[in-house]
Amino acid sequence: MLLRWLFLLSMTATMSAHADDLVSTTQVVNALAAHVLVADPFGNASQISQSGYDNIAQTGQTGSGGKAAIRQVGNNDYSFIQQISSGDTAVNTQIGNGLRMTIHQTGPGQAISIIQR
Amino acid sequence: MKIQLSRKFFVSTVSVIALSFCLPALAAVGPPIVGDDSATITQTSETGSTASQNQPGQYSNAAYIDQSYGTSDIATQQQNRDSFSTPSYDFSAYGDQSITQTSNTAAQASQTDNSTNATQTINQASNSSGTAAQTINAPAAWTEYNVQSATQNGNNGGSIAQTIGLSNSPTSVASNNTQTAAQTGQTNSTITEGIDGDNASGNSQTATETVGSANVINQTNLSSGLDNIQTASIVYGDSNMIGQTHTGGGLTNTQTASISYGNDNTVTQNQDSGTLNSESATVYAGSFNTIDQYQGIGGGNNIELASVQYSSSGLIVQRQDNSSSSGQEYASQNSNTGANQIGQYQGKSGNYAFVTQTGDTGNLAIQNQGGAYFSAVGNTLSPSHN
Repeated sequence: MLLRWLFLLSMTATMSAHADDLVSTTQVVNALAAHVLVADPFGNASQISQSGYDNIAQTGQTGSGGKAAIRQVGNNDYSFIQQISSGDTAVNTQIGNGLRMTIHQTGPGQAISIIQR
Repeated sequence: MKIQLSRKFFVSTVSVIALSFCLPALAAVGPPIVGDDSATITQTSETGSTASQNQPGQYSNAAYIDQSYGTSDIATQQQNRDSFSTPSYDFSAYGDQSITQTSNTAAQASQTDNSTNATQTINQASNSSGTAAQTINAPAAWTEYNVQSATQNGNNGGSIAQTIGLSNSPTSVASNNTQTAAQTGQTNSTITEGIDGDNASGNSQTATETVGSANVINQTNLSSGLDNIQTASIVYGDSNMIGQTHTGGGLTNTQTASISYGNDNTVTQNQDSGTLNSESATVYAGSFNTIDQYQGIGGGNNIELASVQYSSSGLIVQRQDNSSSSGQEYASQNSNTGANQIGQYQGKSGNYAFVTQTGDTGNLAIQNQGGAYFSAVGNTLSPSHN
């Protein structure tokens, strides 16, 4: 089962970062299981677009097939995406200096795309 | 019939009833036949006076009450149709009634319209703690295309209450009616508007506070009808509140709220059921304003829109609860000066959430979908229970 789960898990990342940027992408199994309030949500989509400085963007999705996109233009921004089901997609773009980005995915068949420049 | 009365410096009670009997109800669907009765009451410098006018059944009746420079005067008017049954048809249409109360402390004005295509107006100025109440009702049949408006100016502690469609009779219909309430230059005043009745559709209610502080606008839609619109605005005012609630279900009902040139104001919008309903709120040129939007259990395909421009330290919270699906949330904070926050929550499936924050510093945006609930402390995200 574990091997099957690992086979289904896919992640793609595209990254071009400045030296002072911090990028962290991890998958944590069932990290949010205790906090799921709704049975079988699916197909949710979210977008955050920020320009400026010192901004924070955070997205969490518990259902399958979720799509999360964050775009930040400016310095010292921070973004966080957490997805715990299957077939989710995270797209995170940051343009500037002093950027920080964290993405947690815990399910199978998930994809991550990151751009920092 | 025309009556004119004027008395000064005495406590008195005047009651004038203008009665007219109507044509059969079926004729009401056509144009007005003739300009009919007219009644006028004038009371000046009185205390505790009462003026009452009732026009139960005729076309194009007109009634006017003017109470000035008095104290605690009471004025009531009614376009009546409370006995809609054969053979005693009681059908009023195309009437025009107005009440004016000026410099009349604690003056009270009330109007009831059970007819069609009628107009009722209340104007109150310089009345401390004056009250205005207007009702469009449909006790036994349809009540439609009526217009009621109430204005208060310089009336601190004043109130305006407007209601459409109190009756829940299955045969009653309140549709395409309009109510407008406006308060200017007031503090600690209230505007309360409600749409009721199972068959209330296509009605419109508008409330406006201009150059005032610590005022409250409350709008409630309890009807399961369609296409009702409630609009509330605050212009040049601080520490005001707008509350809009829709609990009756129905389709394509709209709630809209706006704040411009004001600080520390709050907009709260709740839609607890129904589909294809929308909430919209905007803030322009203010600081520390809050928009809180909620769409609750059982709803689907509902929309929440919130926008803050040229402001600072604004907060937008949008929530679509655990049973709502295919909802949309749009929040934007643009051209602001920083420290603005947006939080979006969507509970079920097929939802879409969208945030834009431009030109700012120190802003925060949090989105949770599908039951997740996160809270942010500094730059660290931690999940927590709802």
